[in-house]
Amino acid sequence: MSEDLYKAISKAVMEGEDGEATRRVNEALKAGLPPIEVMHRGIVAGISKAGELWKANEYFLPDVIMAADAFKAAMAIIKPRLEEGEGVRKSKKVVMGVVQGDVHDLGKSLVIAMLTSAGFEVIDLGIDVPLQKFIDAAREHQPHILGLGAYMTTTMLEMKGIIAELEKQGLRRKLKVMVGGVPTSQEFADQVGADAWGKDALDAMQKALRL
Amino acid sequence: MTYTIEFEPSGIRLLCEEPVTISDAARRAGISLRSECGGKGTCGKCQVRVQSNTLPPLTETEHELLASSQIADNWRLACRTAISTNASVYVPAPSTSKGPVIQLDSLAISIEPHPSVRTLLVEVSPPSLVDQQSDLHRIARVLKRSHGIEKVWASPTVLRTLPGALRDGDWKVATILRDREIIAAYAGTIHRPVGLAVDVGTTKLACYLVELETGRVLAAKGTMNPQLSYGEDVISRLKAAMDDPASASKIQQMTVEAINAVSSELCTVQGLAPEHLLDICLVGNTAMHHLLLGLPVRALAVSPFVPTTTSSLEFYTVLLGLHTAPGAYAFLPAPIAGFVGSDHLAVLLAAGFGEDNRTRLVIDIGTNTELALQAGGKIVSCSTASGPAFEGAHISQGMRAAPGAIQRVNIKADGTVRCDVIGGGQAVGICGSGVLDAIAEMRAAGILNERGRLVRGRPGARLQDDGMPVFQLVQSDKDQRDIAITQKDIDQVLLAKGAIRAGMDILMSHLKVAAPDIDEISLAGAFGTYLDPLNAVRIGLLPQIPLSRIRAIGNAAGAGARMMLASVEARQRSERLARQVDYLELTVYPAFSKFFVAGIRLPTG
Repeated sequence: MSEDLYKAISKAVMEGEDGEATRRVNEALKAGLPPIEVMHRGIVAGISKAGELWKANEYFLPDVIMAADAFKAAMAIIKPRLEEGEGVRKSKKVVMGVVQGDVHDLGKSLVIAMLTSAGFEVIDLGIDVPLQKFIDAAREHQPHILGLGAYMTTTMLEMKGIIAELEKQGLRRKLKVMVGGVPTSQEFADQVGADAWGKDALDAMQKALRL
Repeated sequence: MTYTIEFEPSGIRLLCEEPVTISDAARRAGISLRSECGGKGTCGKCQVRVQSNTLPPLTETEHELLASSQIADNWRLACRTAISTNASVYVPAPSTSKGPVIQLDSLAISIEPHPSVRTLLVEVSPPSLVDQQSDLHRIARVLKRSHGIEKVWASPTVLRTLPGALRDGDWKVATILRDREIIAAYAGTIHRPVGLAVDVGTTKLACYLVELETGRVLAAKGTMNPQLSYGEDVISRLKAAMDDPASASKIQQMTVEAINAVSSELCTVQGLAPEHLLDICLVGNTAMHHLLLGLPVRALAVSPFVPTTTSSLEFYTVLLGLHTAPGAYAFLPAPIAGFVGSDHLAVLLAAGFGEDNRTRLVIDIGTNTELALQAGGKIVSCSTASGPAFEGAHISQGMRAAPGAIQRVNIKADGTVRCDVIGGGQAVGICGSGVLDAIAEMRAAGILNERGRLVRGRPGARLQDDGMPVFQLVQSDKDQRDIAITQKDIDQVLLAKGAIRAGMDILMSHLKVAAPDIDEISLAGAFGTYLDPLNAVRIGLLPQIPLSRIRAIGNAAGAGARMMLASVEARQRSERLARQVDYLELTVYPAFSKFFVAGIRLPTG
């Protein structure tokens, strides 16, 4: 029975049915299933499948966006129910945010979904994030990776400043920086001193695993 | 009463409901007819052979420009001939134009002219040792006595020309007045008052030489915006301007130079000179507006995207270096908000917004697509970055609408693909309207599923060596290359479609309008003219509404600019309209991604 519920959650997330996903997650929690299992075997399983389909060119952007939406909705219910430190299973932490002046969040949602499916614990700083907030978060969470997103040629320049400030604060060596977003490129990543560049959410996930 | 025009040799058929000139019909059908006179009927280049039961009698111009043997053989000038019943029109190759089709004409707007300037012929008594009054005073005296105009004045730029004009004209000058200000004085004769309307588009500049007393277009010409060298998209150009004052200056200069070059050509064609341009109205999106004026753009380029001004501007053209009459003013209508600029305001004006209570939607499809919805006394606008996919960019074999571009695609029941090429020759690539048709036809034939994926195993659908699924449109031949549309191409179009449709659905949701409530959808811009409305509905770019409610209005921004140029009343109306428009910033609209996702999907059936 629990198996069925996990399958139902996974299917709902994969198909981007956020209403169904949240309903099933609540159902599972009410039935007493451990939140950590619901997360891994239901929610994460679903988003992983979506990622695989994307990789196989069977899923396209809207499908992935919808799945990421459902994933986000489901995770919002589960997260508060997890025990402190639980569910993290010694996963590597990623701190993510979209730089100041930029409010596009679609890409970030996709990356977070893919990273979580790959087993990372992601701390989302949101959009239009001021430089200092990135620094404070790096210091507080001591992540393995700091992910920076920008979707306009004018805002991506912020990244250079963030990396420079990390250097100044003696934090640069302690983490890896990955950058991404439509106007960015490998060349840009090299120019600003990042460790990696994510071409899209799938690519970001694969590279994050190797960092 | 609907009727059909069939164009040969392309085979394109156009369903019409109203009488239409052949040149307008050709434009709608995506056929680029030559027009060196801008549809005025003076160049004689748009010769076509027409078969129809009811044709209007030949115009005087046609008698002049066509040989009697041609007339006997049913040749007409497309711009002079209106059709209202079934007709067959043969367009010979020499009557088609080369190069990207820069669309200039638009719906015939009836402009009630209220020019901002007037011309008065003034004859003064020559000075002498007993009458040493100044040149200006001489003129002022006559204007007061004969026309009751008091306290006239002139700026230094105009004063510099005054003595020469008076003496060259043997003490007779044609003075051009703007209220009490003399903005020009010409020796002797009165020139036909003309002005310039300019649509400063991101990709193309369109200039119209306008007869101020009637609002008529005397000549029109378009040119690619030289700013393209700084980037195809607006953000790249703003970035260049932000980062380097020298670049900002260069961008401003090159734009002004391009306008001057085109306006000079237009004037020459009419036997005039730029110094005869008495008034100029320029419209453009807010970025173009700011770059043209040399305004700081940093605040505009990054969130929260704030322009320096949203008021209209009126100032001496000299300030920008535009070549016009010495004291002429430039009128720049109000930008609306963020990136939605005065060009959009011009489109609203031209599309009749604010004139009545009809529920209207206007869409100006371009690299940035601007939309506006009028319903229940309210007007809402928004802008989406749809990208240039509909202009053929980012499509592997995409191209602009020029000879050689596949513009129409039809997939027959037996699976064979028929393509119509602009200019009728070999297919070199595919343009926006062709891609739209292709996707609609592929969906209808089951070659694409609801998610826009190519269905493996369908005839024509195959995998390239690199694993990319493609659909064959044209088979290669001795002179003909393979033309195919790839999954990636389809994705690009679907993303563009999704953005545009999301904008539309959000506006409709905001004003609680459902598709059947819409009385009229106006499509502005070149792509709006070339696309097939039926296919646009089939792929979900437009909502399900009767096709008769969809109309193309061409370069409405240019038409609106002309309206404001020729009429002070239209300028005032535009101010009111600007204040009435409520701009929605889509990037912070809740559930945008849901609308976007829904917009990307292809409709069922």
